[in-house]
Amino acid sequence: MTRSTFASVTRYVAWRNLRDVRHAPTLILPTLLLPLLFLVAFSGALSRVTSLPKFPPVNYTAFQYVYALLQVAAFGGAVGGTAIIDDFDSGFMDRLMVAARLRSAIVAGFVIAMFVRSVIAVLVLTAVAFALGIKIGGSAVDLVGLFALAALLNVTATLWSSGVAMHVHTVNAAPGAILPIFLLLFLTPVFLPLDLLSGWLHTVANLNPLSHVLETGRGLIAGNPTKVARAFALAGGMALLAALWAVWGVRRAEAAGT
Amino acid sequence: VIPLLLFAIVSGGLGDVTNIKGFPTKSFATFALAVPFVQGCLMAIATTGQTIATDIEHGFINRLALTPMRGVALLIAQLAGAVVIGSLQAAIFFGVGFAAGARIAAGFLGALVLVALFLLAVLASGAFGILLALRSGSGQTVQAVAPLTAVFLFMSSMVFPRNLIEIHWFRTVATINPMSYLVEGIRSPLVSGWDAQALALGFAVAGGLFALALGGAVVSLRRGLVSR
Repeated sequence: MTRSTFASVTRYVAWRNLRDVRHAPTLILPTLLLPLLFLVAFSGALSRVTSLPKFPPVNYTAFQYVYALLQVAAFGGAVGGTAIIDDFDSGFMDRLMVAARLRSAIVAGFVIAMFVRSVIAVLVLTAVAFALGIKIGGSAVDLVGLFALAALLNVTATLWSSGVAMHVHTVNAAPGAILPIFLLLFLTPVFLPLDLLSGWLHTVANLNPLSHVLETGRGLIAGNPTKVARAFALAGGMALLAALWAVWGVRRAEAAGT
Repeated sequence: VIPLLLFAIVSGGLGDVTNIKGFPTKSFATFALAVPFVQGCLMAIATTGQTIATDIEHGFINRLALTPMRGVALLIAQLAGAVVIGSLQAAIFFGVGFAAGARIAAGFLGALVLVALFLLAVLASGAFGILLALRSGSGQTVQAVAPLTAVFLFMSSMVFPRNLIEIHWFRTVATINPMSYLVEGIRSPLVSGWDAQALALGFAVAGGLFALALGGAVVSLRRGLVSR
């Protein structure tokens, strides 16, 4: 009998989740539908807002694409928590916890699987954005920066939702895994740049770290990147906190004897 | 909660667009107040349909078929419930809307007309939900189909006046989408005062959908009760 290593457990968990998608590609849909709807509806209805004074020189489809991209990244990670909950429900997670010596490898496997699933969703989203006439002003380096921010958000969301699932490990955890991400994304400058918001939404959006990641992402796609270091620091910081939360969740699941 | 959340995000996030030339009002909260009303009526599909689907799944409809009760009475009772909930929703939407700075250009009478149109749309959605439940017999189907109606709302003139939409294909989609006329009918007493054309189109869309869905539901219920 071979002993499980961190790499072997990670690889197995990732493979198992990706195999599910291969057998049922529609599993990608929940991640993709709302962002696609936002991209198509709002880039179609609101393109005229670029004529507002102080609106940055960016194609509105590109402006909305960045928001939809972050939505795909975040939702794609958040479903990792529901996948873990399903595994707890079916009893599979209990067996996996017994078999794996390093249980954090389970979460690492989910991070990889959700990342690959999200990449597929991003490819579809990007194809639709091109069909809608997106114009990209940023260089290849800018785009690498944009996708790196989205990747960090995807990892953060997977770690967050995995942590919730590991803490609660029942179906009751599902809203806790998804709702905070959903709300944080909505309380950002969805339709207009942060500077053009006013009232309570400006205050809330300004305090929301995702707003600054979004603003930098929009700058990167327009070829006019601003406050890139701050955006990466915020995204990296959120990922680090989410990793600590996930590790704590794994420790609690171990202590609970699951 | 969801209609109010969407109202908060849309009205808070798009306030500046009233500076665009030709925008029909200086208060985006007023313009956006139609959104929770229309979304609220769409939610009647899920709530009303789910009730009937649960009755079918639990065999309650089968037992009803053995009684002298007429199927139409069941429909009327379900739709009356949807209207009561709709009336409460309308009061909450107005309360939140006024707190956010929305006003009604057509005054108190305009508010009554708006509520009448909203409740007719609630009836249409409720009847559609019942039709879905009767045809499928499954709560899961109702819950799966109901959110898809949001596509019609998003692809309408929900967040921007149709005449100001500059992307041609989207303006065409919004123009052939009946949801735009419902949105504009509900919005007109808020923004433009008395706009007979917008109101007539709104009532025609809501009334037409109600007649179609109710007719379909009555036929389905009659067939269902006979076969059971």
